Formats: sequence, structure tokens, C-alpha cells
Amino acid sequence: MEIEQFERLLECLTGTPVKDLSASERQFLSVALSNDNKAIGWSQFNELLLIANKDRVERPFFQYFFCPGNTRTEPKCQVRDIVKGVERFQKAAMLCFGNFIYAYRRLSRLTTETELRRELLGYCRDPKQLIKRFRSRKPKVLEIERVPRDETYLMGYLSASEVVAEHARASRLHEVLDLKDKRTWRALERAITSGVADLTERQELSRLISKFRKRTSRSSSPDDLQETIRDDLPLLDGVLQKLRKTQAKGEKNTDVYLTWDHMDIYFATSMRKRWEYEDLYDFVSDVMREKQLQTLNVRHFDPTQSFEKNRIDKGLIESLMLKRAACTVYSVQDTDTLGKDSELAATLAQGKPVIAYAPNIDVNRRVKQLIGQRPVVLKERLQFVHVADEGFTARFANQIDFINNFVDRINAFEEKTLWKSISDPDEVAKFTRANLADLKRFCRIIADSEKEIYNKRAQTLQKHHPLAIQVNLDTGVANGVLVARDTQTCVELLFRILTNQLEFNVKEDQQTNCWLLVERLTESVFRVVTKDRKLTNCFWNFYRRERGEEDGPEN
Amino acid sequence: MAQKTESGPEVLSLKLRQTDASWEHQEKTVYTVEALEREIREKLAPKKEASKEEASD
Repeated sequence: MEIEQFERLLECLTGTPVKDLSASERQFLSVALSNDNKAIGWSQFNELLLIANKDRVERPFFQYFFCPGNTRTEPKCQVRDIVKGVERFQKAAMLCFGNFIYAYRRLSRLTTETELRRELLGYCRDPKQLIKRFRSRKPKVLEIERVPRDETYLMGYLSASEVVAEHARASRLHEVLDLKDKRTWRALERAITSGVADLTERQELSRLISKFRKRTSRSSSPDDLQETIRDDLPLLDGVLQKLRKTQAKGEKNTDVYLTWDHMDIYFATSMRKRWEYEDLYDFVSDVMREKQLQTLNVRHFDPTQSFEKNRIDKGLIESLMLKRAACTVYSVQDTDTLGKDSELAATLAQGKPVIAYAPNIDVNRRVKQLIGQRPVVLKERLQFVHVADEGFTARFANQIDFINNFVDRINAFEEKTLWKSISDPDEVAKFTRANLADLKRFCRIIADSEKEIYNKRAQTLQKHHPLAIQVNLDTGVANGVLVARDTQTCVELLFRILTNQLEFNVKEDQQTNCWLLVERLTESVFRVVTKDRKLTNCFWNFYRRERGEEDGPEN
Repeated sequence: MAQKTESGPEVLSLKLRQTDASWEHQEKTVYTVEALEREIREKLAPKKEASKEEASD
């Protein structure tokens, strides 16, 4: 090993450069390092450190980093192994301390293996032991009652409000129509104007009447509307009952989640529209059915299966899940980017691993998934991509007329539908058949745009997003998000996180003047350590100040 | 059926602007069916003056 390389390694190890070596010191080192195959023990390693004017290390430090797996009383490593040992130390320092100087000072002085392992937190746990522990978990006493995919949207406040409101409006309209002398539209409108307290609801009922009149012939009468409502009320009632049952199921499931003794994965997202619930359901199902995770008896929180009565409970439960879970997965497929990014940042600041899932869309496959969805859902998806895809208007400039025309067709179709909470599958199928070629084109535009959005989101999270790296306020360690582009990578990452088998590369980034700990599978930055000496010194002086000291003269 | 089409990106933006008051729903604190029903029934209930008028029809 060359002396310059050894100097560099010692700088990586201790966090500070080797001060100018004298000619005799260089001579000593040259002889000591001349044979890469030479075995060196703990005391010999310390002699090398002392020659280079660095602090010596205790035995547990040398054994753990430079002779891993070596159980001899006097462990030894070869000179060439110093490279790997230093890298092993750097990874541990970045994972647990976010700083090399402090990590070296702290760890090198510990005199027992137990103390050392305590400082390295969960990162020194044996993967085989962890797997054994997971597999030997006792079965759950309570299991959640599964809410089917097409009922998950009923967990949301938006859908619940819509279902309840439409049922109530239909019932009220039915009551008003039953009163005598409401045989003309004018009389009906007057009755609503005078007979309904809230202005917004009067407008909604008028809108319903107007919709009905548009879709029926000119000769239709309030009696025809009454008949339609009589036919629709049982269907609306059916959805309302389903809503009640789903909420009850969701409440019980929340209780089950709260009482589980283990919680490994928290799937986080903010869902509002029906398709967001269904997309997340599909994602969670695809991930959790994989054998790798099944064999570990992993417990996860699925928000599509949980209902909370109010937004305060919802917030508290989310916080509790974040606190309990070993790992959090964010699906960035939804519309609320600001809320989601803030929540992601808050989780990173707790120091736990965070996976952000931004799917790599297969456009053809996606088009097939989109066709057959209710036209209003396709319009909602277009609304999402139109806002989220900054380049939408430019990229589809020569298709804007087509898009406008198709949106008009969707609006015309939805105008014929009185209720958002019930849909006629036959009418949807008829619309699909009548517009198939244009529907495929429309869905392709949405799929292309989605691909662009998620590619951009993934890149932003990995490279640019200011919230994608957060400092754990307790420890001062700067944590980064792991970005997964497909479910298989997500599964593999989760397995590695839970069994302490994440693999990293240590990189020096010239652009940011930082050391980066990069996760190998996704090439996401997991930890950062600045090389700025003043920032390092000031930062760690404050973070490592002993408890009980004043913060400043004003306190 | 031929649809009268208005075109251009500005028209599209207007058409796609959220109009379903979904933000309004975010203001709700309680989401149970019972709470939502109470709220909507209050809004749909007749005005006090209207009840007298309806009774006299």
C-alpha cells in the first residue's frame, strides 16, 4: 500500500487529514505497509495510527470493522484489508452518526463489544437472526376484515359526503314531489326555493331537476321525475347501507391495527378520489403478496382498510403508525403533492427509512387499465395530469382540440347521469363501445402524461427535492428517501430494510462537497455528510453538547 | 352526435378546473354517516316560513 493511499484512508477513518509526516515517519510507514499480504493485529494497527499522529483504537473497534467474523482471541487482518475496514467504518458512521470525526472519537474508545453494538443501533444486527425472529412470530390474535377493492373509496370523507348527500337530496326531492300541487316544473322550483333552508342545497336540487329535464323529452313532468327517483332511491339506499357497513368494518380494522403488537410497514398516502383508493389497494396488494415478505410474517398498515371518525383521530393514528413502523412507504401516485411531500419529510426527520414509490409506467398496459373506467374517472385523471405535468400543454399541443372535444363528450355523458354515487355499467359499456378509438387515444394521453409525471417525481426526489433529505432533529443525522420505480424493487427494499441487508456505496460528491451513502439497488442517497469543516464543527458542537448546558447567554 | 367544441389550452384549463367543491369537503371534521346525515338533513329541511306555506296548500 502506498503512503498517500494510507494517508487518505486515515483521513476517511478519523475525519481529519493526516498532518505533514516527517521523513522518518514516512520511512516507518513505507516499511510497515510494503507488503499487502502482511497480517497485522490490533496493537500493530494502533502503531500505524500513532506513527501518523492519529488516536489509537480499542480492541472492539478493530475487531468489528477490520476483522468482521473473525472470532480468534487475537484477530488479525491483512494490510490490504484496511481499505474495506475503513469503508465499513464509514458506512456505520454515516448511518448512525452522520459524521466521521465524532463517530471515530466515540466508537474507537469503547472497550466492550456490547457498548459498540449499542452505538451502532439496529445496523449491526445479524440478518439471519432477524429473519429467524420474524419467522418465529406468533400468529395474530385478531385479523382485519378485508374491504373489497371496489368499496375502499367509501373509507374517504369525500365519497362518504357524496353518498350521504345524494341519498338525502333524493329523499327530500321525493318528499317535495309528494306534496300536492307540484305538477308543474315552476311549482316544483318554487317549492324548493321556499322549502329548503340552505342555498347550496337549493342549487343542487335545481341542478338535479335541470339534469333530468335535459336528458328526458320536453314533455317530461315532475311525475316522471318522481318515478325516476322512486326507481333510484333503492339503489342509493343500497350504497348508503354499503357505506355504513364499510365504515363499521373500517373502524374495527383500525382497532385491530392499533392493538397489534408488531407494526413493520406503514403505507402512507392521502387519498380523496375513488381511483386513488383503488390504485393504492392494488399497489399494497401487489407488494404484500410477494413471497419474500409473506415468509417474514410482516405486519403492515393499509390505509384503504382503515376508517377514522374524524380528522383529529386520523392525524393521531397516522402519527402513531409512523412512530411504530420500522419503515414507511409513500406512493406518490396521488394528487396531494404538497401534503404528501411534507409528510414524507416529517417521516425522514424521525430517522426511519422511507421508500417513495413512483411507478415506471408501461404505457400500453396502462391504457388497457384505463379503458372501461367510468368516464368521470377518466376526466378526474386528466385533471390530475393536466395540473401535475408541467409540460402537458406543450407536449400535447397538437391534440388539444381532440382533448377538448372528448372532455365535452364525457361531460355530456355525465350530464345524463343524475347521481355520482351510482353508475349504470351498461351505459358506461355503451359509451366505451361508441367511442372506442377516441377513448384509446384519450387514455394514451393520460398514460403518457402519467409516465412523464412519475419519471419527473422520481428524479426530483432522488436529485433535487429540498425535502428529500431531512435532518433527524434528535441525532443530527441527515436522512434521504429511497426511490422505487416498480413493486419488485419496493419488495426487495422492504425485505432488506427489515432484515438489515441494505447495501451501500460510499461516494465523494465533488459538486456538493459531501460524502454520500448511496443505496445500491435504487442509487438513492440514504445519508449525507458534509465535508465543510466549519459547518461540521459548529453543527456537531451543538448537537453533541451535553444535556443540562444552557443553549446561549439569553437562557 | 356532433358536439360543439371550443378549443385551445385556455378553454381546456377552464373545463378541467375543479368544480366539485372537493376542497370544501376537506373542511369537515367528522366523517361518520350519522354526522354527515345530520348536517345534510339540516340543510335540506324546510325553512320555518315555508312549512307554514306548505301546510296551507
